[in-house]
Amino acid sequence: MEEQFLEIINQAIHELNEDLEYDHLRNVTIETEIFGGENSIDSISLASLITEIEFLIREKCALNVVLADEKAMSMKNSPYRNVGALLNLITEKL
Amino acid sequence: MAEVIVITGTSKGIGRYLAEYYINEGYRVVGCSRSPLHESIDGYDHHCLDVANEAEVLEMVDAVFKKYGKIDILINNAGIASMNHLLLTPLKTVEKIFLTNVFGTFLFIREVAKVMSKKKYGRIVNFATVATPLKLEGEATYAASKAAVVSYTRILAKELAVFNITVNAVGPTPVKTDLIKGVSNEKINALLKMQAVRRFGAFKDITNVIDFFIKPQSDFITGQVIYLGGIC
Repeated sequence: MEEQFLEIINQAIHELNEDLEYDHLRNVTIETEIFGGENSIDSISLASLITEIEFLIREKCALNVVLADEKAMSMKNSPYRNVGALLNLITEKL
Repeated sequence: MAEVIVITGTSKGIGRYLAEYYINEGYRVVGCSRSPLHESIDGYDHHCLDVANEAEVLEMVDAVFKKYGKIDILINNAGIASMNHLLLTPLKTVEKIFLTNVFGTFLFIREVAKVMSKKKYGRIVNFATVATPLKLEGEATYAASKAAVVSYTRILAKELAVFNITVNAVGPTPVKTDLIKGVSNEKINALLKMQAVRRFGAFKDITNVIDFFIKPQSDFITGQVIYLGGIC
């Protein structure tokens, strides 16, 4: 299941980056920064990305999940800070 | 394809009227209430749920998205009221009112806005009340819950503008529905006297404002609260 979630994150980031065209989002790895660090996307892009990931999980895995998190906007502990943290959040929620 | 409109609290009162009105206007209407619907109506789908139950709201919004691929309009009508003096109000009453009026509104906006954001289009209309600006004694909890809805309206209008989603609210005066059936005539008459136009609100007064908010040309109208009857 984790591999499938990683594929979904990859797909969603790739789709988002068609508009953003950020270099660091071209080749996504587990360490790829998403939010809060030097290579942060903005909060609107983050909201769109998380929404898309929720849709893809619903579509591909038939699972309803809400990835909202109270630490979302934390610069240090955001569960969206990088791909690995986001993957952890998804597996925790499901 | 017809525009898809989600309306909460459609089993009776204003919600039922809104559902019937927008079906007749040619919209595809999806409604919900705690109680099931025992009839089949063309152009209408019903979901039986508690608006404050996150899992049930997710399931409904997902079902609408799967069936229609979009939601154009959300009307957050579901609401409950209670008249009581602060010193006589049980905490349970406060919890119930906030669950439906605030948490329910929040959940529907959050989930429906996700669908709307994919199409980069949406109209959200919330329900406020004149009890908030009039600061009506005996309605502190109800007015406070609707004040929260007004804050959501004004702030979420900013957060969702980037997705071309507008968020506005209509604040009805007393309309003859179950919501005010327990209120004395004396109190209702005193309330009507505070209005610039001293009459009961009618359902058509409410749809008149909603029609304005939801039309495509109203894309520059957001974060607004329109109170009926000349209350400001």
